[in-house]
Amino acid sequence: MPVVMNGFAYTSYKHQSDQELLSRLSNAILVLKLQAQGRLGQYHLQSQEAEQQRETLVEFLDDLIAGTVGGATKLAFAGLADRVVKVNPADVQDRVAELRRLRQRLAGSEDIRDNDFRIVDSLQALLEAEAAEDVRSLYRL
Amino acid sequence: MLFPAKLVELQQHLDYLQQEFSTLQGRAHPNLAGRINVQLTWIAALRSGVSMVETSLALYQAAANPALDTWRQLFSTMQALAHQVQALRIQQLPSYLARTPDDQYLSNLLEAVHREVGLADVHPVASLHQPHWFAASAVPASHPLYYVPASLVSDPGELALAFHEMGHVLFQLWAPDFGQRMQGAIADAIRRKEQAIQSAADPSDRQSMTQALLEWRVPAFREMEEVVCDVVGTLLGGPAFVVTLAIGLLATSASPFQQHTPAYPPLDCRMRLGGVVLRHIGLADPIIDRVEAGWAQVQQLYTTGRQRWYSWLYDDEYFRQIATAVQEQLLARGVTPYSAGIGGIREQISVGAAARMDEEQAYRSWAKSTAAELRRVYAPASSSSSSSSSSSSSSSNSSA
Repeated sequence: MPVVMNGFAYTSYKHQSDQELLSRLSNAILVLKLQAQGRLGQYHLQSQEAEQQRETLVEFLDDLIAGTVGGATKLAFAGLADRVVKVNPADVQDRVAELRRLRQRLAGSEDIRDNDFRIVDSLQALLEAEAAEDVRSLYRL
Repeated sequence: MLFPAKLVELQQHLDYLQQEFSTLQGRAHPNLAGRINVQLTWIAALRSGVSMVETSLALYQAAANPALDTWRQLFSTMQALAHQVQALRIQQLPSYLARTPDDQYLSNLLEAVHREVGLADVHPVASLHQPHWFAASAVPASHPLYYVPASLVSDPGELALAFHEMGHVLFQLWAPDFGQRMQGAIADAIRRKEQAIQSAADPSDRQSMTQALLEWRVPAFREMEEVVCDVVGTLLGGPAFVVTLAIGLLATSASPFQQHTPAYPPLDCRMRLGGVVLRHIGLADPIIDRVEAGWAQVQQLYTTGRQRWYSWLYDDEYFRQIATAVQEQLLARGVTPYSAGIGGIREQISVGAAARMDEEQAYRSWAKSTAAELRRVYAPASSSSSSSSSSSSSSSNSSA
């Protein structure tokens, strides 16, 4: 499923970092959803691939939690962490705790719950918004 | 039906791009031919990507449980492909279609500049008839596209600004190390400021500094690349870069202490950075004093609009920290920073920058003689006599 994303549409190194992170996140979510649907075989994917994508999500959540709590030190997470906070600064601690619980479930090979998928989908939406900041000039008319 | 129609459109655009690029490649100068060659390979990869999305679309079933639906992920992949194709179609291709007889000359000149600093494996492609001041499309780093003003042919005074664009190329050429090291430098600067907060005596200052730093974190990362590129420009281009950037940017903002676009720091930051960096590396130069004196006159015009902690966030030490990180990377990779008496093209443009700050006639004389000299050395034999061809010829598809 991963698509070659070497690109001429990158407007900056940060945009490239955002877009590459988005591609990794989206692919990980896709594979895990297909696994949950029991349809990995239709996409010629093995269960090992799903396990790898779990690890990808764990790493993603580690960086995002660190960036949201302590301030991002990785370029690709700076904008995303900021957007996560700004969704509602008042309940950011609760949402970080939720991300930590999700991270534990993923690392512990537990089943991924429906609400977990909703959470990672919402994170993908935030990252899409961050990455989209840089491509608007492609579609001016 | 909208989604399949978009995929059909992407395939049609890719057909068109492949045909146009193939045609252009046959009559392109060597650097452009090399760039197009890479792009043709990527067009083939994009075709595969579109085919994969078509397959995924055929397999897609709306999940009975909405939480497991894969529509967002499928659409995201298609979006990324669409951006790539659009960039090739409306940014890359037009640059090649609008090529001028002097594009090859400027490409050769830029290649010589890269060679002088130690980047012999970079083969730039210059685009003159284009709507930017200076810009770079740094992918692929082996054959980056430099958008430069057509006036450069007859007046090479702004050539120093290409060193900023070279910074963008370094992010790609030395990926991911260079970018990661620069992220580290920003993180180090933030940590230093966190420590400074602890030593502030007044609790209310500590509180407001903490808030200012919290709000600055994300902008600092967003503008990192442009700040680093100004540092690269300073280290590689020396005083000529600092002078040329200062003249070029001098009258561009009525609120120089504020950020206007997320990717760029406030204008004041860009105007001060070069002098700080040059002194830091022991290249203090009287010409820089004059640049700074001039900017100080502008600063006086804008006594309001400066955030309370602006000078603390963008302090000189911040620029020095980034400069140290960039300099380490340059030296480790065998790139030669500017130094007095370095010779070559960098020496020539330094002479021009000094003349620019001194006397109009001296500068005009320098521009004329240097333009002629650079053309004599770097223009391909077939166009060595068309000194004003770029500014007088219209965009055409004729062979360069």
